[in-house]
Amino acid sequence: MSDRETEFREFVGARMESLRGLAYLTCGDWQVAEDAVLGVLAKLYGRWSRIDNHEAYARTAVVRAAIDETRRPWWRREQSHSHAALPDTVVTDRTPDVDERLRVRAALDRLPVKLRAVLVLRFLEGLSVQQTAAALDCPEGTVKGYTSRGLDALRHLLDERTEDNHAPGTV
Amino acid sequence: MHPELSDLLRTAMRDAPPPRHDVHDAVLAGRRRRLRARVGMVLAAVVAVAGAVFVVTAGAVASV
Repeated sequence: MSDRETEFREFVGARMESLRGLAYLTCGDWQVAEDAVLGVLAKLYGRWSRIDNHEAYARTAVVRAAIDETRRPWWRREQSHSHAALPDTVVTDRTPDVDERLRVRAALDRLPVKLRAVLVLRFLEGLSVQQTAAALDCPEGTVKGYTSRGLDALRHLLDERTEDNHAPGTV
Repeated sequence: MHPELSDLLRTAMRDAPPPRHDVHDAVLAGRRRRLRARVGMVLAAVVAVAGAVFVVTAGAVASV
């Protein structure tokens, strides 16, 4: 096994799980997220020696691939069907952990994909405004605007859902 | 909210199913992709050479 392949294997072993999470939070589907990550890693394998910062390349490519997936026509069809089939309020599970997860997931799903991507890159991956702008190939001002709008929207959605779940008669 | 947001985002990932792919799958996918790219380049080169030969031959035939 070459040094290049050993390095690649070590990188994938260390980063695959977090890239999977990054893609999932961006697109909202585990299977699609895994396929996006595998596609990016396959590309990275071929370009390994030509890329300086493998971490940044993989992160950027994964987020972009996850965003692209959500723009496909079949995705919009599937999402509209799945949203139509779900109740408007989160069904309260008696397990607090599951309830919290569903609440956050539902709030994230309501955000536009670019806002979600910015929030995930900035607050999960801990990137700066500049790094996020480079990853999403957009101006820094756009990242700042998306961050502010995304935080406001998420806060509003989470408060709304907390009130819904505490309202009497909630299922 | 900012310090808590990373915790909230991690909360949303708690239902992660077991991964379908591992390191070995990533290496295999990379090798397959590289092989496809090489085959594509070889085919493109063959088509280009064949095209050039055809043009030269056709030109020579036409001039006779």
